[in-house]
Amino acid sequence: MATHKLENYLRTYRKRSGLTQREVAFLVGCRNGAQVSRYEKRRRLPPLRTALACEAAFGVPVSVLFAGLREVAGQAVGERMLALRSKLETSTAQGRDARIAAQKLRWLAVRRPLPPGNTNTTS
Amino acid sequence: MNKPANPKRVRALDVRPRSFGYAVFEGPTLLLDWGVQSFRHGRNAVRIPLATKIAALLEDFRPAVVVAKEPPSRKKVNRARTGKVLELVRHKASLRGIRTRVFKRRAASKLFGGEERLTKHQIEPRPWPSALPSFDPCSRPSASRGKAKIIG
Repeated sequence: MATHKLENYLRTYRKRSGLTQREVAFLVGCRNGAQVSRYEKRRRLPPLRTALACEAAFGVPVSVLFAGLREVAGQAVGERMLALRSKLETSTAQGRDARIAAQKLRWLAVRRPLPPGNTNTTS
Repeated sequence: MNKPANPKRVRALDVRPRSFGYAVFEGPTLLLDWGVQSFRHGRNAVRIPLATKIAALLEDFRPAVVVAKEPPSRKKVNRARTGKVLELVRHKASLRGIRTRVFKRRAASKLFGGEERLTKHQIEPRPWPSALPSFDPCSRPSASRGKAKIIG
């Protein structure tokens, strides 16, 4: 049985760095250490600015720090891409609209959903 | 599209009479978390009950399996206390559908040192065993006597 990725790996990277929650809060511009604790325990989702600040602080891509979220989002996008493709394939557009639909279909054929980011967190 | 296989998360416990150490692994090489939790009684009693701490640890990382060493056989009182904690861990884990495995203490040290009796300080500089042997479900020690039961 394979387990799902954790929603985020903030705690792992923080403990590896040896920093306290308060110090990480200072680095990423949070109010206090309690807010970092909420992010680590998945009680709150950090805003984009904080997530990017975490990437800058730990030197790890957001897709790796938030591997579980990335996995879920990737799957959802993949399913929506399939839905959009079937919708475009069944459309009865003529002329210019048909050409645009064909272009979108070509793009969708090439553009597969990104695989869940390189979640090798051993770095 | 191939779905990447996620490695199992394992929580390892070293239960002592008044505290326990823990480590969380994802796959054989990635250490996610580690620490020590205390559950002292009496004058220096901790505020958060042991059951809550164990539940929080299981919820935080949602491991696939919890592994622990069996209680020491030296002192009867320690063995009883440790056995009770292990029983609680097992109960909390089973409520969440997490398996619990208890291994003999000798099996754990044998993995690193073979037949040699090594301390943790001697083990530390050695390379990690490349392939962890798959232990059979081991005996769960009874709190009162040295008898062993199969758990799983």
